[in-house]
Amino acid sequence: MVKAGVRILFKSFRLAWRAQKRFWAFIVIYFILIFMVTGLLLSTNTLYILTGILGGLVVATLYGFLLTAFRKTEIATLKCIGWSNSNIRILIIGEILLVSCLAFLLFIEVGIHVSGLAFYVSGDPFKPLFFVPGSVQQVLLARNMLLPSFVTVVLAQIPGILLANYRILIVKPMEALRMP
Amino acid sequence: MSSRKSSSYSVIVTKDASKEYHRGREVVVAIKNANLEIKEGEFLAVVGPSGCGKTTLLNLLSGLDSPSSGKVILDGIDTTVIDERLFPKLRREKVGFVFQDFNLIQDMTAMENVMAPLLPTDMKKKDIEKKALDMLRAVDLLERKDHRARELSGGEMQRVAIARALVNNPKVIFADEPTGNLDSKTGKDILELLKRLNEEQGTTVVLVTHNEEMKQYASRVIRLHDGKIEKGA
Repeated sequence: MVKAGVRILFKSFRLAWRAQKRFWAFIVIYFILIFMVTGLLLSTNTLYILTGILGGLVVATLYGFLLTAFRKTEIATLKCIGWSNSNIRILIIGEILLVSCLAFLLFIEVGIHVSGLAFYVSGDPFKPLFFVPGSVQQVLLARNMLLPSFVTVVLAQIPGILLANYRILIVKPMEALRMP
Repeated sequence: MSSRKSSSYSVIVTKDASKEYHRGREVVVAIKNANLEIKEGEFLAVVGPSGCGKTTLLNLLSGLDSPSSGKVILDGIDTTVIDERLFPKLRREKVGFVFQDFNLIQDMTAMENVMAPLLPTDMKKKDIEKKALDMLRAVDLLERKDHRARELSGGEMQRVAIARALVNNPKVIFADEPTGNLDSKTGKDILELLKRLNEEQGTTVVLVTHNEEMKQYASRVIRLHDGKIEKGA
């Protein structure tokens, strides 16, 4: 069954990519979220850090909700054709995983470009560029915060994944037979 | 073309199967004491007006829902007592569905939709692809295999849905108003396709419809009225 699970995971990546609007919208949202969490983790203020974690929770839970709400008939149909709850779970979690990882890579990519540009202009990769506010550049280049912010965002996914899982479980296959 | 007749083996048996729903304090009896035997290779049409319980009966016969009382035996398996975790395997191996709204996965191609029931199995990808191609050939849609579901016409979508329902060689295909969203010419083509597959491959077909004209394709017709199978069916 591992082979089947891997096959479904790759299929979920392909399907996520094809859901163009939702896919790109959430990559941008996750990018902003990672930026926000990194910025807030840079501060020593506990309230700011908690705000970052809360933001992560809200976005991830919303994404988990939307993914399963958009695909309710699809989930029921997949159950009708013999997919188990765990097969469907892989399909949904695969998309969440892909989106959050790509948003994180995009965040690193933007940071590299900003530091490269700063090095080209001034010879110092950390010197603020005139068109990027200092604090924004500081967040984008906060390499020591990359891992903590990624871990925070990943942990914040858990309630969203649990919600998605619950919604997968409650969809009955016979719902596919009813008129939408 | 070899034509198969229905065998004496009963692929579905119901024994006093009833289904009740609770609507507030009121108890709605959707199906009353259904006793039915469906032979392997049969093309059975379940007809009746809207709201008479046709879809509820289909849910019970296919194991999508359990009866409130009585038994439903699908290919020798009592669906009222088997472990919940075994239902996906049962559905994958024993039944195929054709829906009124086609229910294809919109972001998948025709080929991927047909492959979908076999993805959770341990079959090799090459074998899955071969089976899907064979099925698309059987429904004359090979040239549309790489088109996404949303790029297909209603008739093509329904043919993909039929190929998907057949790809795992199920014992029974359940078709719930399969022509409900198609024009009459395309609807006729779809029913002829189901009839041809029933005759050539010997797959049992259970067709649920309110359209009396469709019964001409069936080898047997049962009529439902207020949740009861009418006598003489």
